Amino acid sequence: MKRPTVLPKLCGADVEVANFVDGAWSPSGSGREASRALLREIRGIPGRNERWTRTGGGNGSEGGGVRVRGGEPPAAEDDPRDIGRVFLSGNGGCAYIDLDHLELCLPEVLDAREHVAAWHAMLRIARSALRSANARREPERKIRILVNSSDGLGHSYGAHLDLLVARRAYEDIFDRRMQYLLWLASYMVSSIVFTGQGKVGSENGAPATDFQISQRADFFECLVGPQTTYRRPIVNSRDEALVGGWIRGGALTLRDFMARMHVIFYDSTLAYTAALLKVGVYQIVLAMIEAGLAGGTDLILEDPLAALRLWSRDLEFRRPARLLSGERLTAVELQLRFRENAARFAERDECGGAVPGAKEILDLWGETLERLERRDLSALAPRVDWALKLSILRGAMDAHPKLDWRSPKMKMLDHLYSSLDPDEGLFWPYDRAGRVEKPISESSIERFMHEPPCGTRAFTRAMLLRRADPETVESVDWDSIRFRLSDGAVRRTVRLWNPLGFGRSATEPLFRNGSSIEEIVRNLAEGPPV
Amino acid sequence: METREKRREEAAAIRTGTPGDGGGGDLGSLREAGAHLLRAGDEAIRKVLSMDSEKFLEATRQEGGE
Repeated sequence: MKRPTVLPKLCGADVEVANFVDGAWSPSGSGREASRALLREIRGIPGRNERWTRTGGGNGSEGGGVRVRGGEPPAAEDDPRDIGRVFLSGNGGCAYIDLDHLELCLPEVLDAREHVAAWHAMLRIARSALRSANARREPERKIRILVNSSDGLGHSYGAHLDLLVARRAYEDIFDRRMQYLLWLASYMVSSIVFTGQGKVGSENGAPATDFQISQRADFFECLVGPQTTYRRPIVNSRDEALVGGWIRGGALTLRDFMARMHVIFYDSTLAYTAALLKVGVYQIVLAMIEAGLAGGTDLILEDPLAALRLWSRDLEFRRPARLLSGERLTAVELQLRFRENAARFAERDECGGAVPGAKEILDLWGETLERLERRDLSALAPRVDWALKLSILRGAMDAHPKLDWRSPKMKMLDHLYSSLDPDEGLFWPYDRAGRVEKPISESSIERFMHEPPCGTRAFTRAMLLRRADPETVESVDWDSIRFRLSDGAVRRTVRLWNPLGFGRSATEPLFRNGSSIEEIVRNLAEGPPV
Repeated sequence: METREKRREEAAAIRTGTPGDGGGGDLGSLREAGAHLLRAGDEAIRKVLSMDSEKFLEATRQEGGE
């Protein structure tokens, strides 16, 4: 029987950072003040006609694009989960405020390496905003950004991945084939061995521990669900395809063929290889589901939630969890089994072009699992955040015998591992010293600060936002841009519904031939003005 | 693995480049790599440890997000 075609595993991300004001204390924290001061420094085009000025004369960060004009941030903030969204004409991503966190949204890419480069590019844009904001503040009230996933006080925030998946596979996971859901959850739970950022202590009523692998593990309380802020599910079922509407005149739409996996499970990662594996292996695993090659009981955990808490605390990978088959495996043993299946899948070329660099990702995955099997912390530290952080913290305790796991200074070191300030964050000196593996080029990071990916609609989004007078852009979203042209007399909507369309090869000629924005929009917009 | 003694063994392993449970490699280069790794962060750690941790931890409070 012919297997179904696998869609390219296009990937985006929406990542909240921790932001707060030094020396400030209030029962609800200082995130509100910090996030707004940061977003003011990021230049871009407002997503929904929220035109508010960048006060204080700052030059804005390096997101590219034009300065926008208008009033102050909207007085009535109807939705605290989506405030002040601005799209970046540099790389096609966006930034906004979600529940008082600065949230960084990466442009859609096809290749996991591009994702890592875009991620670090967005961090540099945020760092630039941090510098600009702090330059206008009193030194004792400076803002800090931590690229982590929990505050150590019982609050977690997300580093979500968003991956394209065929609607049929999406429905297999959530509606038809429970074994696919369990298979995916089992992969995710065991993958913390290379995706965890690591943290001191426990939260959310979970059993006490000195140090654990995953920052998020304590916050997952159920297997599946659409919610993200309470009773968090390992596998999130929020169905938000961002490919246009469901029904248009009764005809089939892209939503009938495409869906988005909203992956809320993972920690923020700074280590380049960890970030590459987090996305790249997930792309392969989703491709396997889409090809109908998932669901074997020899890979399914009997209780994924219990295994998650167990394995997050198992720094030596010695504690087994029970599978549906009755076997008992450690996290690394289960990962080795997933990798073996994935390698067979890739060898038969069933990934097709869906996962660029699949072989390299599989090799890196296998090599990382070997290091984990050897429990070789010094070999893991250059590529896995939790191992680097644990090495740093153990080194600090060794050098400062008064420190122990319960010392407030240990928790501070834990947090400051991920500080975005290059003079303060503990990750960065290791990076600068070449002690962190970098499977992507420095130039690719620099490029994504100012340029969009070429293979997805992010290219056309960025090009349109560069070319248009910001006053003519009425609204921007991931799958459409609405313009008000001819002095406001004509409204046209460019529908970027197909996330795999509108790449450079498809639309660059339109932008090259000297056409006016009105001509370009008219060419891209379908049908009469709307 | 969570006792101070065990921790010191592992810190020493990183310093000398001795792989945790086996593995191999050139001991000299591994030792140098381990020492380099620790040196890279020493100054940053010293700087962090000179900060007021209680004040810092009070300020880190976030809203739950997502």
